[in-house]
Amino acid sequence: MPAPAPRRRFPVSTVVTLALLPLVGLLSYTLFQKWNATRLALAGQSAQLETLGARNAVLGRAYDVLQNRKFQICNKSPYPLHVSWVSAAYSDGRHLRHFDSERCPGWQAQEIAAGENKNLLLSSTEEGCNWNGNVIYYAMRFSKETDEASLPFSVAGHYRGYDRDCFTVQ
Amino acid sequence: MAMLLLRPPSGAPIEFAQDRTLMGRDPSCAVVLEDKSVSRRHALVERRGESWYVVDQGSANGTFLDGTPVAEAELRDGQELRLGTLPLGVELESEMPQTILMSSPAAAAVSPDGAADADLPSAHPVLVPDALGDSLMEPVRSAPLPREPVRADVSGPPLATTLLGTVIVLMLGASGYFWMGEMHTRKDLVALSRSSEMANTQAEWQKYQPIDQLEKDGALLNGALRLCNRSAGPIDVAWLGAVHLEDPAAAGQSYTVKGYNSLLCRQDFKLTLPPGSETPVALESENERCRWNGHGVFYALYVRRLVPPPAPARGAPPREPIEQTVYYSGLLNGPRDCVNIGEGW
Repeated sequence: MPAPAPRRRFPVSTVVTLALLPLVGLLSYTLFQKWNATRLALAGQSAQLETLGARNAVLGRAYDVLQNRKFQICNKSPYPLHVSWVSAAYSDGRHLRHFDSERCPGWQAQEIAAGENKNLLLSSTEEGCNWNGNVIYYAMRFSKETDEASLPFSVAGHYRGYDRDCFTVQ
Repeated sequence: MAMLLLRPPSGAPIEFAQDRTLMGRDPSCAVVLEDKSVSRRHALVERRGESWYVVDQGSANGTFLDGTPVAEAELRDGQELRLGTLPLGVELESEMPQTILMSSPAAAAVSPDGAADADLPSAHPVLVPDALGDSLMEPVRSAPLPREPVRADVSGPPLATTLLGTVIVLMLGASGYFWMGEMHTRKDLVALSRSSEMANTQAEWQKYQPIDQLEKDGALLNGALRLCNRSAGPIDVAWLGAVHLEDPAAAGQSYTVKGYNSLLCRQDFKLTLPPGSETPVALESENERCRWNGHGVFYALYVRRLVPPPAPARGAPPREPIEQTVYYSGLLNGPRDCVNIGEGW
């Protein structure tokens, strides 16, 4: 009669390694998590640096162009100026906006006396008409009221002002 | 009677208590030897009177006693029995060394049933002291070992232990790698955070942040200017101004701003828009300053229209139509519809 099959029992070494396995596994997992988190943080920082660098390169080129200035007219001529129409692309502090006095019934033609400096702006509750006087690009129609005649001028461009902060009329 | 022990190179010695014990790799053997050179049913260990014999069972790799191949041989203390390549030291020991051996007649006299057990070797009955240490000694027979096969540990650590150990070693190696990697990465992270490149980039970013949204809103995008006459009659554009930006190819250079003003080119500038037309603006000129491809970031124009005069008073002569200037301006950032001129006229 054949002997019964032997009962297999785990030796002590197997039991010890089995007990060690979860501990070592936990250690490995914890260290991997830490390493991975640090690795992701470094990758994030590097990506952020790269993104900011690329963005800075674009904005650096545009920095001068997109300067938001106050639209000021300096009348250095001996005659008064009559500003009948103003249009401006400007920043309201966050976004790019557009103001066109033609679309704003509250706008009234501006008179600028000889030698006077004047900031143009319009406070209004109408949509698109509350202009804080900032300007990036502009267009304007004004006339120089001489004794003999009214000399009209139409201008458009990137606002820098002849002396950086003023549109000067000689 | 001597007890036979076979001592493998590693593990516990194999004790023989049965008269006939079969050794081999087969699990049905009383002594299972897990060695590749051992046949399934390799050899029989047999007690014959006071002696122990080994009988080869036709094994593939043979049975050797002190290096000599044997088919059947008596085992003696100190010899080396080899099954295939598995060496086993032969030890013959006196059975149960803690027992007291007494002479046969006395032992027979104290047997409880008054007669010696037929299975006990009559010449050397085995006696053990009772629990109280009385002088009365009872003969006991050596307890036979259970029929359960003896598994000899002759082939090193089990496979499971080896595998688990390997996994543990690998995981420890990985842990070391992760630990070192974390240290290096953290060092790099700190270095990057404190680097002048990072500081400069962030300072620049702070400086440029006010114009970031403007750029996203299209303050640098040139679009095409198209004029659509929505009135029933022709419309003359009397003045046109625009701002065009040229993106510099090289970093570090500023955009080039170009302006167009029709009055600076021609005092008698006039662009006629037929009724219902959609006109892409493009101005050709020999003068470079007066050339414009119609693309820009900002445009402004005005048209002149004649508005019918109010009805004259009775008897008064008819009045001339009144000339009115209408302005249009806007951003051309990106795709946009036509600039509709003359709507509602």
